[in-house]
Amino acid sequence: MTDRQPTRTARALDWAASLYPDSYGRERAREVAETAALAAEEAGPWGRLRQVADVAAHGLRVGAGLSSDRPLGRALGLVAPWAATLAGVQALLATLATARRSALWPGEEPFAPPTLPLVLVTLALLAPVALTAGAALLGRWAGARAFALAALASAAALGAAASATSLHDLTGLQPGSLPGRSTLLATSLAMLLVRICPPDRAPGRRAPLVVLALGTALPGAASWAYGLTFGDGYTTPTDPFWLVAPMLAAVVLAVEPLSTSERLCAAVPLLAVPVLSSPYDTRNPLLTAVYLLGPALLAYLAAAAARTAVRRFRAPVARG
Amino acid sequence: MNHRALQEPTTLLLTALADAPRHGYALIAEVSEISGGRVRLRAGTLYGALDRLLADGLIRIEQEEVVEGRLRRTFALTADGRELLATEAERLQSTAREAKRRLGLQFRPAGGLA
Repeated sequence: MTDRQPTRTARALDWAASLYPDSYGRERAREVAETAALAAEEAGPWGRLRQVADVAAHGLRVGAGLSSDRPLGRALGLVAPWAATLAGVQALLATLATARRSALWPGEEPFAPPTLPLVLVTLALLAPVALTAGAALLGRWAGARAFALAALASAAALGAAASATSLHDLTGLQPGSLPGRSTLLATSLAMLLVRICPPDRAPGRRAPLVVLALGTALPGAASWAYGLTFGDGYTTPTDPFWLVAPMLAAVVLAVEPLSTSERLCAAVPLLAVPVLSSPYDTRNPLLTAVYLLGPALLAYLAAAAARTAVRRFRAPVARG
Repeated sequence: MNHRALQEPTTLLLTALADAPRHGYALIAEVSEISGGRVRLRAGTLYGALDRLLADGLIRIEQEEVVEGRLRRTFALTADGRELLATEAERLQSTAREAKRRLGLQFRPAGGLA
């Protein structure tokens, strides 16, 4: 048994090395595998498996151009933690809104208090997403990747549960009270980004701006496409989200130490609000724009005031 | 030059190369020792980081040899890498000094902790 283990690990590492593209060089791939084999000698079965998985993941990442020495990999590493954060916020708000809306269907008891199964379902998705975002923002990639895997499994389970006919009998939950498919999809994509991005980059300061710009535009586009397809702009799991993106953009604008060009980038989600408000609400886009920009302005003022207060508090110590 | 704080594994890798050039497995062992066994880099992650540091010009390949038919590259710090590590060390030292001062733990000329 003990003789078989290194052989099995060596074979697995050979396979992992074969995943590297030819452009990386056979010798270099072998070098990575040899180093992993040396490190695996001191590891237990789980440690050996992780060495193999790590080499395989690196090979696939290099093949896809997602390693941290390539522009795409660098961008992904910078953006993924913030995308996970935004996905967490969206999942929280969309879950709460969907649960509340499901309690207001005709014939249902209005404003029913959250039941234990509902709380558990909510936490099953939100807890791993929140932990993923927190770990990724701190640069703790090993933890972030493990939590992202848990969040992916949770999203898949919730997706399957939503279509299960016996859900109500088992838990008392209506399928409509579970997170919507678009929420699960957005969350899964963000978690997938954390899984595939190179695990040796710190989250970037400019990355929130890109994520917020996309986070503002994409729900609007999704809502618009949904309205076009089904002719009913009512059921949009992204409803609660579209207020968050402009508000977060305003906070970033006020708090982050940004250059002029970065400030311009941060302002894009806010400047785009009047344009984006038309797909958000085709009936009264102007009112929607005011509704979006008002809280964003308040968020900006609050964040700017907080930043000034913190600087004043720190200033005497820094000079001393 | 205003450097951003480095990720801990990057700082450890540059530190491991500060006194002598090293090859892949030696770097894993050295990083583990410097961090007191807390950080144990896996091979894929290590070479991913090394490729990035090479692309950034912070390290260079000191030697490339074939040992028993196997490629073995030895990596070394470049002048830019040395400067970045020195800046990061100064930043960490400054933070540590301030933390000790506030905790009343700074060394006095007579010796020992206050």
